[in-house]
Amino acid sequence: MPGAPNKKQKRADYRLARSQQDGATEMPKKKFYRQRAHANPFSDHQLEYPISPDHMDWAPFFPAYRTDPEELPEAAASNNDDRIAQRQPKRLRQDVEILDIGCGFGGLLVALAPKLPDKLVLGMEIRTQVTEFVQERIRSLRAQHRDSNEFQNVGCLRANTMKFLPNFFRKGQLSKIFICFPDPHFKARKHKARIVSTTLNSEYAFVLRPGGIVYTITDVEDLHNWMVHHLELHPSFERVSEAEQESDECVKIMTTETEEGKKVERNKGQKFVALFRRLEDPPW
Amino acid sequence: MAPLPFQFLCALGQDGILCASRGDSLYTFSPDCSLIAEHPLGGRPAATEGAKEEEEEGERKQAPQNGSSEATSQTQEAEVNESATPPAKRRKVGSEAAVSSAQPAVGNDQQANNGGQKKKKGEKPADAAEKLYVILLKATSSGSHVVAVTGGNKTIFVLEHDGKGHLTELSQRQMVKRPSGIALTADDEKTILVADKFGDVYALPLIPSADDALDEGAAAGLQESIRLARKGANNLTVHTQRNLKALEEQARQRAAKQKQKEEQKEAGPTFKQDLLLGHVSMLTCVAVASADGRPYILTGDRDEHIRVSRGIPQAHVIENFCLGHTSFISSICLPQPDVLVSGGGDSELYVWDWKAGVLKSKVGLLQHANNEANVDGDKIAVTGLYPCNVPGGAGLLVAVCERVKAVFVFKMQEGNLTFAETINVAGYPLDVAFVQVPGQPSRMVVSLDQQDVEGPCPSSGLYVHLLGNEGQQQPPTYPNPEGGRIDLPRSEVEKILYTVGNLRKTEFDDVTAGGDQAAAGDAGAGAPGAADALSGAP
Repeated sequence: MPGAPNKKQKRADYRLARSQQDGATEMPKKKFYRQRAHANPFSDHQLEYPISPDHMDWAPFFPAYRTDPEELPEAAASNNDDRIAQRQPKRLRQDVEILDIGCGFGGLLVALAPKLPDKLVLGMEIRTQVTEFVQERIRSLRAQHRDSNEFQNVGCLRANTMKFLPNFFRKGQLSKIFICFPDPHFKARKHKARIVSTTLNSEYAFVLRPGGIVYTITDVEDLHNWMVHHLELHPSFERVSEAEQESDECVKIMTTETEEGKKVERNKGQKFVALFRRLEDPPW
Repeated sequence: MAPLPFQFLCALGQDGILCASRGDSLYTFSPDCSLIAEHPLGGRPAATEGAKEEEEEGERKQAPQNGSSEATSQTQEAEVNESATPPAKRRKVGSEAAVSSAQPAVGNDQQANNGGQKKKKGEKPADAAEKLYVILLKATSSGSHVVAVTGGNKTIFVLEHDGKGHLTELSQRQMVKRPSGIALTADDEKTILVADKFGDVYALPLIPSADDALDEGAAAGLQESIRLARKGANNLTVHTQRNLKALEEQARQRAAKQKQKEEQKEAGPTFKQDLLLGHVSMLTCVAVASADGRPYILTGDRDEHIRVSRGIPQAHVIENFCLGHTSFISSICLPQPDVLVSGGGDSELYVWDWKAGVLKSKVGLLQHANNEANVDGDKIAVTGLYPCNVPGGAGLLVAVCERVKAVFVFKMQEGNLTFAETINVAGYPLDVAFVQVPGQPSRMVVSLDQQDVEGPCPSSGLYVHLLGNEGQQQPPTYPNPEGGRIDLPRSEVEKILYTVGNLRKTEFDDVTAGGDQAAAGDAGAGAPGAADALSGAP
């Protein structure tokens, strides 16, 4: 898709200008970060991902939660080349617990962060430009709320969660996973590319602790049926009752605050919400 | 043109019988190294599968002689089928890979394949041989059954072994996706685990029984998910004029398709196969393990993951991951019940406590390839890891790398893997089997590709190394049976024999992927500390 010839240049100029004004409080403009809404999850993108959760350095994403260097006497010891059985030091005071898969332009993240101030919220997005937008957005918000220290608990990184979720999170690390307005992949041939599938649900169950919740919302009824069908079919999940779903604050935020949610609202579309609870694994 | 060498090997039981695959045939050799029999796969009436498939099998063979009128009618039929069956992958019709589509239908699919094949056969007859190529071979530990998988038509053959080297074909089952790894479950090896290139693992009964035939109920379950997929967007989800128009068009097409579908019977898999688990990545290997009397399934993929799942019936529960590889994984094995060894595109073999998901050690492989096998360069790709389970070789683990003229022997002691020796061989090793021979030293048999050896190559390419022999005895030689040889251009042969190296990711894949990405350098912005973690720096 060849864009306007000077589009690239304009984007580069914009980014340069932003990077020069330190502590920018001005929000980034979406028009400089737009990107085609579909990515092939099977492709070998030039992704960067940690070898394992223990190798993940979260500090750049949540600088306010960084542990002090003197708390890490092991830091020097781990510097040797032989990483075997060398657990990397934890770099944050707490772990990421809430994940938005395919966070898009970050509407949900930004709305969730103030409501859950004692949890770390992370967005993962496969599109580079969009990820960058969210990172800029968080940077601006942090700068705007420097006094109240808000938005320090929210971060965003580029990742292909379908392939590399277990590289980032340990077993049972997460308490909530949001899957908001995912790519519907209408063609039957593309169904494996859907973010919810019988086999992929096992990975969500792996990173989610028992009692944790998967939130799904979509404006496509068939995709909703598909997600409900596959998550209900999976022995590790049960659907959360209507009543409980209504009382969940996150559902309201998810319905009204996501960028797609707003768009659907404007177009007077439907929204389908379904929540699923991670069950304890059966004895083995 | 070059004939194909013997590729895959397996020992049948403990009586010294060796089974080797060459092209689409299996050969069995007696303990005294004489040929017992040749078994062409799919070339005789199958015992359990319907005669229909057989018929088409024959039809396919006759295909080049048939008139073109039939060819065109079948091609049309194939197209019709394609539209009716959902998970068909469209393939590029290039000069190679001429399979028109991959479909779950057995009967119909054969026709579809025929259609594509015929087009090809006109131009390049050699390619067609790829259809029936053994790509995986495995025998039960007792040697009672042999499982062979052929590429191209993605068919799993199960053969019964009478204990004396004679094989009888029991079943043919055509998979939707190309299998990339097979394993047999520990419960008397009644179930075949099939890992495929799409990332899924299926369980198939070794011997399909009559009640396993897919009944209406099970088929309905499958239909259900297909039905869910049928409808797409609606006029509330699309908003632009053009999209709305497209939607109308889709609805019209769907109605037409529906009609068509009612006319012909819905095609689905005709045999029992249970989806156990799946990665969103190409699977390269699968193994079974057990701990505390419980079975587990270990799967390795191209994206550096080794997943430890519970065994049947709780295969949906992931116990943990063994993460540490920095390149693809191509082979995993368990030389001891509690120790997993994995290899692939990395320069070392990794030794794991798989139950805990902890890396115990790494054992260098590249250095030995460089020093002792005249390998230049800094990359190797492990084709296979073979733990030795025969007398005289207890605790040995043999590794073979792609296009490296050597066999690397390691020793496994008390959970520690150490390098033992390099055995240089006269060609590129393809597969290894350990054969226990009564009253004689056990043999390590290595199939070699000797095509780059100067001049004609009269030997079978089966290299024999006697274990625990200390060079006392001259190793026997296996004969090189005539017949059943498929001649292919050398480039085609290479494509069949050397597939592991292609698993390596290329560095600049992203340039074309991801639509209008501004710059690849963007990926660096706020990237996780992967590079950092690699060097181990805090």
